[in-house]
Amino acid sequence: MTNQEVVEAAVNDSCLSLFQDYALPLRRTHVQELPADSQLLYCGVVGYSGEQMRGTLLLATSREPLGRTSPTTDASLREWIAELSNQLLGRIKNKLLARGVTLHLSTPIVLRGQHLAPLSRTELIPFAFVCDGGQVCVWFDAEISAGVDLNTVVETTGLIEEGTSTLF
Amino acid sequence: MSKKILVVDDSVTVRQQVGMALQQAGYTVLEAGDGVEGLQVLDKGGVSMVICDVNMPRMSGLDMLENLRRDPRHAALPVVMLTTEGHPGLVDRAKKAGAKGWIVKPFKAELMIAAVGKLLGA
Repeated sequence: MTNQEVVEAAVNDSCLSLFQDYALPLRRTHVQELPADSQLLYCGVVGYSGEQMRGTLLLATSREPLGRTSPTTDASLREWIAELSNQLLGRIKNKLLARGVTLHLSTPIVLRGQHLAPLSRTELIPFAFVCDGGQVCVWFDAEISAGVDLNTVVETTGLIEEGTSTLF
Repeated sequence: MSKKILVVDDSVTVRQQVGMALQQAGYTVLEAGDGVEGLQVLDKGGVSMVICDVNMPRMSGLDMLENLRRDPRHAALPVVMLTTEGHPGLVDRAKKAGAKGWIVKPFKAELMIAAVGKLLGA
């Protein structure tokens, strides 16, 4: 696999599993197949950095996936997309750790608007997903340092997986 | 009187989610939005346990944990980290600072309540 393919698999799998954990199955699609009037209104943005990689994750969704995954009825959608973005990047970070990549995350910021999309350094095609009545898009801008090979699987003894609880 | 648990997280949604689960289990919940606020709440006394995020503005959860351990009043206070992070290096740092547990989001309420009950001897 190329570095790009390793990163794409990590992003795709992390997004599917995160929404599945909140009982909202997503289906991967092509961005061209999203409805023309797609209402990607809410966008969480989290930057990350590390010796091997740096970049930004953007998670944009329509209202439906946010409302359906929110664990509390009175949570603001702004708060929730910030937290979801953080949890998504956390998952990607944990997957890339197994490839020897250590990332540091910034605090999420939230944007609201119509037809939100990043203006990246290079062409960036979003990971597009659909669910009943809604859409989710993820842009993962990654600048990988020269010489880094993400095909190298490293030992990750002690990594605690999502949804698990460990007492010391 | 129910035991007081301090929930420290910069996400209001997570604080509400954790708070609801703890209240349903019979605990009283106090909240703080970052490590600085968390230490201020602890200073007022009466807290039996802390559930704390790692990545937060102003003061991270690990910095808060290391700070509170320097205060003899909180030397034995049970602290559990609740975070998106699972990095062994961070887990080791928390262990060395005396954290009693580590939960990776999204958390399962029943697992968290079981962990809290075990640590508080319920």
